[in-house]
Amino acid sequence: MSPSTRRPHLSAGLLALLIAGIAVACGVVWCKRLEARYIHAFAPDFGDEKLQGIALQKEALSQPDLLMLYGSSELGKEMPNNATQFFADYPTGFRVFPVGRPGSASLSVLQKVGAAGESVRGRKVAFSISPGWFFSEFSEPTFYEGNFSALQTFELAFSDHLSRDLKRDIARRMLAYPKTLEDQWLLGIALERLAGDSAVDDALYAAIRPLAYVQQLVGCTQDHFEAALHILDEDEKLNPVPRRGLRKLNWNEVLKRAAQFANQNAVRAKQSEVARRKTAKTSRAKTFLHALAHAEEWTDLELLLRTFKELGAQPLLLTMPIEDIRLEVYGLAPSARTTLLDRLNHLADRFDFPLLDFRDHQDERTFTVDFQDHLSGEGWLYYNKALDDFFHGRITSL
Amino acid sequence: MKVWFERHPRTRLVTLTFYYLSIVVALIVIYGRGDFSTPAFVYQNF
Repeated sequence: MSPSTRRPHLSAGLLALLIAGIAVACGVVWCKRLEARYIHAFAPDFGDEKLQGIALQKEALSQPDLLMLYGSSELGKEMPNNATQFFADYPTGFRVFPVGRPGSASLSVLQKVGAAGESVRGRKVAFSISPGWFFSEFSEPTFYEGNFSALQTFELAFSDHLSRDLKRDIARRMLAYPKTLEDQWLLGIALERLAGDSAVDDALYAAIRPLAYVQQLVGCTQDHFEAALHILDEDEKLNPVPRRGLRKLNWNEVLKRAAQFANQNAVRAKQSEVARRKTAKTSRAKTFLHALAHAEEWTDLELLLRTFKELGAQPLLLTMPIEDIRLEVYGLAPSARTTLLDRLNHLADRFDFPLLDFRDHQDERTFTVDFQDHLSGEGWLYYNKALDDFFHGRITSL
Repeated sequence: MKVWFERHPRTRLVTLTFYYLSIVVALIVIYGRGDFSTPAFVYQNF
């Protein structure tokens, strides 16, 4: 009597699992091929599969002609010359791949970079920093919560590419948003153990690792299938063959035309905002400077820069200028702006990462369209030149 | 039916395998979708 006859249910069950396992593995290979074929068409996409998953971001990082641009609401805002549109036909040989949505600040970006892990090593990536993140002492919880991804955080929490110290500091910050962990008991335990930093915590963290590995295996498999299903759903919209039009961009000429994108309606709206919100300078300035000095965002930004460093990424940091008119609306002296920029530059210098703060444009009113750090058509042109120079290794000419 | 399956062990194994495979497929279909949901998020500008 053969074993399959003696224990027919066990044999059939194991055989069924084996067949299902092989089918899923083949499915993942098919999904990966589909992702590779369509990844360039995902540049203008801001769906969950791209922003909350891992598969598409890793695939984008493996492409030599895609430049990852992390940021916030400015990335998705409809605006002439925004980087996604400007580089749509690969004018100088690459396209910008924006990753970010309203409310995503350093901690949300860190989640994505940490999850990408080794895929970021040696890669040029750009990170757009909004000055407004530093204007409040405490970050708005819903902004982080709305950009939270359990899948990405799991990958980060069990990453072998980040040091224990860095993971501890990140975990401590992430635990400040308990709402994100309400339905994630395993992730919650992992972050608490990482944050604990004692020998017992280390032992418990190691104990749950196999379970986390299985959970992550399921999560990443789902991620691949979600990406593939999204591609199949959007097949007609996503053109797998990118339109390319290699040409020489004369940046001096391009920037000469920047003024024509100055939006006078936006300037008028800003001026009326100044008139409406003008308050006593002293009270506003004191509150602002206190918030600026103690903003949680500084901790998050430093954690992100440490993550870039440990993963061996080559980031370019960009930040919009704080225009004079913005100081007016907040009732601030230019020294407040200098305090912010000095600290940002000091932080970038510490990690030896280039930072562009566009301070030459502080006296203009048209680099941004509002006081929420949204670049104007003019501002995007300066950003685009910086991205082009960065991609082609001309960063010194900026 | 039980007697017939006992007389045909190979057919029994194949039938059982399909039975368990259909359970696995049903579980994947029901619970297999990835969840990218985030807590409620109202963007109120900075």
